[in-house]
Amino acid sequence: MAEDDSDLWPADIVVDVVPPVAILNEQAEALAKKTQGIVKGEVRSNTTDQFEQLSFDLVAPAVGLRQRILLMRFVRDFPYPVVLIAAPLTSPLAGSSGSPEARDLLLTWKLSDAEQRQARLAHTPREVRELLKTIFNAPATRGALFSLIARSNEVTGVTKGEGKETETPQHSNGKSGE
Amino acid sequence: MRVKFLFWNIRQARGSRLAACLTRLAGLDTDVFLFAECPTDPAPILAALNGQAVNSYAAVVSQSSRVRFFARQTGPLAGATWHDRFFDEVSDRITALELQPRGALSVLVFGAHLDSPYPGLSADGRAEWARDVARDVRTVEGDVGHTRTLLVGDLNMNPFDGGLVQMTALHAVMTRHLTGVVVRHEARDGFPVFYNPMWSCLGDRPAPRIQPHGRRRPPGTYYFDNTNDRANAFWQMFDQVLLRPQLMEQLTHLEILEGDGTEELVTAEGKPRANLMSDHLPILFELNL
Repeated sequence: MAEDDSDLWPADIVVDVVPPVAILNEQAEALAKKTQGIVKGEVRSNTTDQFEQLSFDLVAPAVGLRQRILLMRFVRDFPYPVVLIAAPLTSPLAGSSGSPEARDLLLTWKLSDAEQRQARLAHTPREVRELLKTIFNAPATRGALFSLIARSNEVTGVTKGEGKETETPQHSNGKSGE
Repeated sequence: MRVKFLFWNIRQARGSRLAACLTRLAGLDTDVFLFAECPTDPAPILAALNGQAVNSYAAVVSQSSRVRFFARQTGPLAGATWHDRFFDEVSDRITALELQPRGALSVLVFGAHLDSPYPGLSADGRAEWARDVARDVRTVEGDVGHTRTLLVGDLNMNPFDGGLVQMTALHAVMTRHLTGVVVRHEARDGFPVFYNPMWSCLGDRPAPRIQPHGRRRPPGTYYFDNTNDRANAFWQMFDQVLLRPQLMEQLTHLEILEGDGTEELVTAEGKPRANLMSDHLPILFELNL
């Protein structure tokens, strides 16, 4: 049977695409809900001539602690592709990779030496979500989160038993956004 | 209370005479040492600081290793507490600690080590990183609710470079008077200012005292000996302390050290003794908190 070649576009193109900032805000809300407001995610944006950059901080208001866990950078007005920079990510630039992603990261995105070792490129909201899941479930992130909750509980005098909901690794909520 | 701070890029402690120098500096009642390029294991540094009998030092706990703090356990900071306020695990350019002395208002102390120009990072590129740092400083100030802030470190820029003077970057001005002037400029609204006392340390005059062999005070903190670069100023003031207006009148002393009281940190030509000590000179300053 002959293949239908009247539509050559990728099958995953959809119309409900959201920008990276919306994904981060959604995750910030999810975190606040999960931790009952003890730890919040804070999204900040800044713009340079060429790029827009988003940062995502874990903030524990009760103890005045803040920990930055990731950056996103994209060309102004073109939110995809977007570079995610976070310690748990293994960059193709960390090795001797000559992959297209490695070349793109090196030539386009003005990464510092430190950033080059922990940068990954995402072309779609789905890829952004997958990388965020990796970052949020990484031992370092979980450790930071539990530390902030523990410190906050110390200050506010709240103690809770084991088996808190926060011990469940965070999963994507299933929305593709694409 | 008068509190003495000493910042130094110690170049991974490779200097063969550095440990002895640190011991002597610790014996001069410095209250807080802040070191950039501190070795991953700070134990030998702490041992050097505690290698004298007068004072006892402890490492200040921080997630960031960008600038390591060591605090004297006696003197004006006896019983003081330190709080780690911010950690950027992505870039880790600054260490942000809030110092709460007994009987005095707390102070935010940022230790910074910004990216070096020598791998080919342009002045604009460095200004861009400075903008990020300035934004983080403002964020942490918002978190803690005050601006009694000092930022000290190896900024890898001079006081006149864009990353220091631009409003959207560190916005550091050369006089205390200017800090009151620029905040009234509508165009600068929303960008708090720093006072940069390092302007007063540029060049070899006025010398507080003429040194032997006619030498003057250190003209900067780092010497870049590149004769091919026709715009090279040779002496660089990469190591700086900046103070918010709320703290600037508390500055009672500032100098670039060229000796520890026993041994010179500079050669006969006045350049840093890189192999024996460090390729940077330390800056010593005192605040009346």
